[in-house]
Amino acid sequence: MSKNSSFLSILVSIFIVILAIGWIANWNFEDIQEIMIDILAKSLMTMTAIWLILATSSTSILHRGSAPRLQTITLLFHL
Amino acid sequence: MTFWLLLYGGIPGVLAMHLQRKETKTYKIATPMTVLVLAGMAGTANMIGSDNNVGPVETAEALLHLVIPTGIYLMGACLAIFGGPSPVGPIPKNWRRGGSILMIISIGWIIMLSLQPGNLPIETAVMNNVAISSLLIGVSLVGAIGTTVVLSIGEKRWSAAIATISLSLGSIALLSILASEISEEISDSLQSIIGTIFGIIIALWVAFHTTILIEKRSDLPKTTTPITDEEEKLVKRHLDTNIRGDKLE
Repeated sequence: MSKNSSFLSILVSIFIVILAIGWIANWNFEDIQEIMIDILAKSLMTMTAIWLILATSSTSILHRGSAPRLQTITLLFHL
Repeated sequence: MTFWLLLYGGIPGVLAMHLQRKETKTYKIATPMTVLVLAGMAGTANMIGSDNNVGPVETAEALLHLVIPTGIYLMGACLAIFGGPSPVGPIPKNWRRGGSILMIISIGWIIMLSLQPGNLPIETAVMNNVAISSLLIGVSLVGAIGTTVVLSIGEKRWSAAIATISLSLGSIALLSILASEISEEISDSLQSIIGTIFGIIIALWVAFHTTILIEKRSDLPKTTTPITDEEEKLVKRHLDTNIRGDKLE
């Protein structure tokens, strides 16, 4: 199996499991907006924490050229 | 406030300290600083689970209850995989069967923790429902990914595929049994897991592309002066002598 198709199969299997558990947890289309907002809020929290950790630690190590400036700008954009 | 400062300032700081050169003073104080930062975070994490009137102690208790079966499972898996006739590192020889038994015990423990936590020899954690729903969702996702990976390899490893898909389906079955009692916790855990996966993927994607952008634009360090004509002749002469067998002039 090629790399692309195996990656696609992993995504499909994750999607199927999420659908099955969502069905078990009584998710329905009426509450989809609320669910999506909650998922987005949690992904934003994770993103911010991971990006902050990665950006600040790598900026302090690679303190050369335009790296610190560029990373700070991206970090602000990200926040 | 202190918690967030330690999370966003302390963790990156100690990470940077750990990545310094080994002979520096910064590297030497990195480990004690990490312990201090983690202790500070543990002490100030009173917002975790504040919606349900449960705090860091209850969260730690629930995690500790999960560490027992997870630890037994990982130990069993190591013994079952690497405990063959030839020793691998510190893992003893001929422990495959023992490893499998440990794995079965841990699966039994998780089933008991999910369905009848009161019958276990240890007291049930306050946040047992949240912890168990997160664990089962995690196992079902990992099992599904594992099955796909095993099947993608294409070497007909049916026993491995059956084991991983059984873990996944078993976890989903347990969740469906528990759904009538802890439907809300399952929903919250699923949202958290999806959100975390998205967050990790997007953050890593942004970090990866930013790094490429930075590295593409950065100049190469000028560490040496260009080679002179005299040096070029000398290198050519040595090559002729050593490769073509010419005599040195």
